[in-house]
Amino acid sequence: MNTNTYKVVTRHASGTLERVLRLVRHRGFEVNYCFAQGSEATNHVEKNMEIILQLSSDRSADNLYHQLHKLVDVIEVRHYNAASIRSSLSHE
Amino acid sequence: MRGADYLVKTLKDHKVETVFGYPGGAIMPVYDALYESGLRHILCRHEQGAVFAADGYARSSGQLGVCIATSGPGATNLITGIANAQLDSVPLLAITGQVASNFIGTDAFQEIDTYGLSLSVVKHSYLVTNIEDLPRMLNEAISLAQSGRPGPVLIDIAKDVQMAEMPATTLAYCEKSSPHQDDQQVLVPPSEVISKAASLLASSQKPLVYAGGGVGIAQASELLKTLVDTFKLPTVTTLKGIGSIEGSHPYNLGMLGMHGTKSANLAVQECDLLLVVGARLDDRATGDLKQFAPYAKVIHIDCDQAEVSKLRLADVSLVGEMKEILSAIIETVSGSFVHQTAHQWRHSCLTNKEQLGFRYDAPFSTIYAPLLLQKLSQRFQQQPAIVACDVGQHQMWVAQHMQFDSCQHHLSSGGLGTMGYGLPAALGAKLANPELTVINVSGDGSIMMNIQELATLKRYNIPVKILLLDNQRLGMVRQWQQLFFENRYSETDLSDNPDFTELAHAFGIQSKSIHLAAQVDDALDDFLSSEQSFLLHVAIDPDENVWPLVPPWQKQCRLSR
Repeated sequence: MNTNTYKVVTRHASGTLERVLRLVRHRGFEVNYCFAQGSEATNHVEKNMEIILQLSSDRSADNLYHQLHKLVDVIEVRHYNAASIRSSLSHE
Repeated sequence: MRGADYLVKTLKDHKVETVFGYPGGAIMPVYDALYESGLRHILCRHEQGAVFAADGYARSSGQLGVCIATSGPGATNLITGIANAQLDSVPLLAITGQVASNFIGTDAFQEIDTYGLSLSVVKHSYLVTNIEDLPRMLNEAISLAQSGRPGPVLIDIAKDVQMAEMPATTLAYCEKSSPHQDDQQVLVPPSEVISKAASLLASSQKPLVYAGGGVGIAQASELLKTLVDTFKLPTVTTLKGIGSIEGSHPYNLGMLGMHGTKSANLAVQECDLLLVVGARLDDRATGDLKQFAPYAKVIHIDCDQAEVSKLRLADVSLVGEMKEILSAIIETVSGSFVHQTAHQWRHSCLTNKEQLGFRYDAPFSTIYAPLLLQKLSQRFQQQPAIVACDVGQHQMWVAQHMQFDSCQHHLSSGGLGTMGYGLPAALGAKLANPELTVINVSGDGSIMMNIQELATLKRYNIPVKILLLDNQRLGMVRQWQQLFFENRYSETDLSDNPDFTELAHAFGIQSKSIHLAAQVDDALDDFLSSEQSFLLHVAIDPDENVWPLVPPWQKQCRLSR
């Protein structure tokens, strides 16, 4: 079982978190950790949501990366290792 | 202008001419806007019929298919058809009414969480609870359904939004802004990746093209043929890839997979290079992946990055616009290799095709369905016809024994395998292609799943032909019971079927029944010459099975029969 961590930035549309978690479950990944936070919209920037996911699975992490990218509301997907996530959270 | 009027106007602005649907409480404002709008609405007799009709309209024309239903049961009845479009990448817009926004979440009458239900079966979905969001969401939905890899998009519109006046400021803003453009850019792989693919192709001793439904969707059939002809490449197709290269093309070895031709499956097992074009290596095509194409390197061309290396690692992945990629490969590869290195391979493939082809010399007085379908196919050598299948043995016989020159002429529920698809899909296809003969080839199990659409044929005088192959069984399930479940025929006997000719007559549709081989030619004459809908009921032997068969999860050279 491999563990992978993703940062997913999405448009903050209704149901987006549900959509991301549904995909993760259906593609065979177990959620160990999930953190989601919406940003406020400004004059120039659309309201977004940042989702941090730590997932376990025997399935291909690359395939999930591409599946997440396909979601219409997803703006960005990044792979992170666990240490860098802890570090980035401690700075927030 | 009310939200409902804006919806109808926008559909017309996007050149939508025909929509399929069924009215109900929460969608009534839209039906009011449709009244005398000039947009042709086809009232199907079940929402599932409407969504399959929209699917058939879309697949056979390459245009957007649109279906409309009310909240609650209307929406749930659409779900199977939306899933069908998702798995086969069909551009479909599903519009559902929702209870008024202040009732959402209160378990109101005919309220169901349509948006939530849709999540696993759509490319994308919207819930509109604010009139000001309607223009953006609707235009995005229409664009998304058709862009990139097409798919179904659902827009669920609260009833109060349908009835609300569109604010003048919103309308003015919408008219000023250009129609939504999908922000996905046309991707073309870098030239070094194209060169790598070209080099693999040029050095291959046993190259094989594996063409899928993506070829037709990308309108890349002509370029695929150029590639195949230029480099003399043996080619196999998936179920949805049928028609991407002419059925009669000398290098077309036919469909691969569980019920594929022997020559196609043997070629897959022996090739040293598989050029996968617009296909996703579905399990019905590959069998046991570990044993699939064991000697082959893989070049995979697709517009969807998520399909490449999903099931079989690609040595070269070419993600992007298929026509650009095929053109680049043709330009880059030297033509000389085909004469020197691949000649023996080609000869071996074509010899297998000739020697291992289907035989039609069944020595019985009863009707042999494969021969009947071959004869039907021969009637359309000059003027093509569209065939919409249902699902089961007859579907595989159509794929094996009929020939098609366009993906848009062979409509088959490939991914979801949905019984009941064929009749409404044929209805939609005929409306999109009034100049072509449209035939629904069905079975006695499948036809009963959407039999009510005979009433739609009659209401609008849509001259769809129905060829009903009746073995009084759920034939494909029975075949598996015979082969893999020790002849334990659990719930597959349909010998108490209704009299299908009487049933057709009750709907006001011409019908005839045959059961002898000697009746076939005359019956086909009547069937095809009728200017109205016609149901030809054909009694066939319940013991006739679909061959060849690669047992599930086994390698492609383990062929039975």
